[in-house]
Amino acid sequence: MGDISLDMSEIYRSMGYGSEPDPQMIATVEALLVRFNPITKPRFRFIESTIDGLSPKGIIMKGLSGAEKYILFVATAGMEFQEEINSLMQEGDIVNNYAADLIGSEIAEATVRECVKAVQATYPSLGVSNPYSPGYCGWNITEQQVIFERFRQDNCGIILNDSCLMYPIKSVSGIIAVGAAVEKREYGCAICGRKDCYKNKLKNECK
Amino acid sequence: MAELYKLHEAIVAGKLNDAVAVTNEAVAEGVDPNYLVNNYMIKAMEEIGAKFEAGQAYVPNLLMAARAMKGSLEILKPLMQNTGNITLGKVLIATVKGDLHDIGKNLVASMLEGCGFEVINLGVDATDQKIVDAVKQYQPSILALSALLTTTMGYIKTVIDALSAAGLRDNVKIMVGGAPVSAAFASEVGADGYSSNANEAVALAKSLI
Repeated sequence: MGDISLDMSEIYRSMGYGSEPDPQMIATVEALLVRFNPITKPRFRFIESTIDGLSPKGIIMKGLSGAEKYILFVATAGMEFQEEINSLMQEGDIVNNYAADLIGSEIAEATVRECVKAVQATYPSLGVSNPYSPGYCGWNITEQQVIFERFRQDNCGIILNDSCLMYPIKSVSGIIAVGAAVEKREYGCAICGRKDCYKNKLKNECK
Repeated sequence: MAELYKLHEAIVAGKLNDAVAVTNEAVAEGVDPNYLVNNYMIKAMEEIGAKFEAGQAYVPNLLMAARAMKGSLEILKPLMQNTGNITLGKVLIATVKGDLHDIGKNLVASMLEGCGFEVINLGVDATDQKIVDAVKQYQPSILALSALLTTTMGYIKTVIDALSAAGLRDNVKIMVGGAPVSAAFASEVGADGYSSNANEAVALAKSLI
C-alpha cells in the first residue's frame, strides 16, 4: 500500500464502535488488509491553480482564508483496489463487503493526508490548510467538473461521470489553501451541522 | 440432540458456522424447519435489531447476524418449499441511474433477507426502464430505491413517474434511502416511506406489507 498510513481507529469508528471493536470485525478487517496490501497502489496529484469557477461555501471559505495560492488535488485508492473490491463483491459476503468499503474510504483519506504532507513539503515556509472537497459542507458536488478540467487527462486515472461520481469510487478531489496566514482550522463535522450528511448522522449515533 | 437455543445465540452473536452447524443437526433430527425459523431465527433477528435500536449493537453486528441467518435459511429453504408462504414478501431493490454505490443498498438487502423477505437485487445504475420492466416481471410488494449523491437522488422521482406512466405505481409500495435522502424528500417525490438505516428499513418494509 506504499507509504500511506491507515488510521485503524477511524475504520472502527465508522462502523459505530468506540474503543472496543467486535473481535470478529477486527479479524475481518485484518484478513482484508492482508488481501489488499499487496495490490493496492494509492496515488495523488496536486496542481497550483486559481479558484475561478469554484464557489465553496462559507465554512469552507473560512478554512481557506489567508490563501496566497490555491492547490487543487485528486487522490485515489486506485483502480487496482477498485478491481479487487469488484471481485470481492462478487463473492457475496456482506460483512466482508461492508468492511472493505470502509477500508477503502480510509485508504482514500490516508492518501489525501499524504497529499497534504506533500503540499506542505513543497511550500515549507507557508501555512497549509486542511483539504476541502465538493459535496461536503454545502459545496456543490458538480464543481468537481471544474477541478477535473484543470487536471485534464493527468488525474491519477480517475473517471468523473455525469453524476459527478468518481471511479474508482474511493477517490477524493478538492482544494487546499497555502499562505503565510493560512492555518489548519477546526475541521470536518465539527464545523458543519448539516442534518442530511451521513457523517453527522454517524457522529450522533457513535458513542 | 440439537440444542436449539444455540441457534438463537449463534445468530444474535453473528456466528455463521455455529448457526449452520446447529441447523444441520436439527434438520438431521427431523426438526420442523418452520419451527426453527419462527421460534429461534426470526426471534434472534428481532433481538439483534432491538439491541441496535438501543445502541447496544452496531451495523456490523446486524450484518453478521443477517449472514448467520442467511446461512441457516439456505439449508432450510429447500425443505420448506411445500409448506406454504415462506417469505414475508418480495422486495425489488436498486441503486438508481448514475449512481454506482452498492454497499448501502446491499446492507439493506441483506437485512431484509435475514428478516424473511425475498429480495431481488437489480444492482447499481438502474434506469427507469429497467426498474419498470423488473416490477412487471417480478411483481414485488415493495420497491426499494437508493441514491447516495445529490446529483442522483432526483432520479428516484423519474423512476416513480415512470411507474405511474406504466400504470404500475399502485401495484407496489416504494421505500427510499441513501445519504442525501430524507423523509421530506420521500414525501416530496411520492414514495411511501424512508429509512435512514438497514434496521429501520426492515421495520419500514414490514409496515408497508
